[in-house]
Amino acid sequence: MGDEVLVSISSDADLVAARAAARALAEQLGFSRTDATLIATAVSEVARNIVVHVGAGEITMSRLVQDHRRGLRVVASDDGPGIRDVAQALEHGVTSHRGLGLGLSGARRLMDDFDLRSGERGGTVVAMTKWRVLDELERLREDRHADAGSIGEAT
Amino acid sequence: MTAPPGSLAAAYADGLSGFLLVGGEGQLRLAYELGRRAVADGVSVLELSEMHHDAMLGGAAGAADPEAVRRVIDLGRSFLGEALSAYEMVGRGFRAAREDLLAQRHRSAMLLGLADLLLDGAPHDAMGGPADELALILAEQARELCVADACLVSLPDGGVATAHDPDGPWAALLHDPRLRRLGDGAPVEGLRLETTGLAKHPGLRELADDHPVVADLTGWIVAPLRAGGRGAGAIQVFTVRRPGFGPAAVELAAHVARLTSAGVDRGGGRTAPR
Repeated sequence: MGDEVLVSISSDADLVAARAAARALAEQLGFSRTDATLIATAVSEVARNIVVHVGAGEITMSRLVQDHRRGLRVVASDDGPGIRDVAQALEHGVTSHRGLGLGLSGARRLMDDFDLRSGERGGTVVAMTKWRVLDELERLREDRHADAGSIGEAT
Repeated sequence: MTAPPGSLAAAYADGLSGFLLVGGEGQLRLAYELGRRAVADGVSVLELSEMHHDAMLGGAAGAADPEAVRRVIDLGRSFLGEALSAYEMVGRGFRAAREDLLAQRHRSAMLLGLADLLLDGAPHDAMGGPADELALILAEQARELCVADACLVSLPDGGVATAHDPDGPWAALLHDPRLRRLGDGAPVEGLRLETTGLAKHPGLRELADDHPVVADLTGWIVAPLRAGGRGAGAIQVFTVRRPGFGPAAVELAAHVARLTSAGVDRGGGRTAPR
């Protein structure tokens, strides 16, 4: 699997491909099974949002490397009519879901970072990231690897 | 505990059985959908776990040896986890809603305090100080109530005050007289602008040349004061946080403005002794 995975979303069936890609990337990045499930669920919610409210869009997933942590970034975008009131959509959900907190607001709570942008002329982009902090052993291994690399470069 | 819907229990058993046979993301997605449906139907976690264990008994019955049982249990764990993820979303939402409720209680207490200050006695009597002091109280409370980064209050008789993080980039903008004029000249119904509207506003575009923070704004609310039926002064709140102000912030700013206007009217149009 490359560094970035793109999944086109146009029907319910595409949710499976998006979830599978998210789970595979989560496993590569060392996320726990529970976190991989939460990521797959968040991806399902943003994909479902595209299918239900717009009809078509795409989801891109990529890995982030930052100091001693790893991130899985998910960007869902569509060219639909956009969300008129973003703050309200995140507060109450685009549809009510009987106020249960599913949908975009639910996805937001499952991930660590969440950003929703909607243009006046339409189009919506949801960007969300789940982070995993490396444990002590992984840090040591990574630092050793970096040292070995710099020695290799010097010689 | 009420009995779970039979159709959901049957669908869960079928879904788990299919997952044990063929595995795959398609079946896990089904588990997620079933969990979502269970949440929407009001099925409790206890009821769902009953469904799961009943289905697992059926799945484990076909296992020939301990290794096969271990495999069934492991796959069952994954299936249950997917079904429970919808409950996780709801649980997190509940905790967030509880925090919101506590914050709302705090805001209600603040509004009652403001009402006492502004309405139980004329503002100048209650304050016994210059209009700027009343404006300062209003600015600090409006900023906290609206969860704003900065606030500018201009009162009918000239009292002006600001509230913001002293280390932030706000001071120069808030003290720019052009910003106060924008507030005083706002339409009667007030203004609420977000990113796109902010970029288009001619007055703000002019201010952006001198104040870089204007380009970072994600929300601006102007709640005009209507003392004596005339437009005079305004409460302005600003944020640079995403996604900007929600509807609650707009209502709160408007409410503080109405209280202030009523308080000024009760004081005969004055907010401070003359």
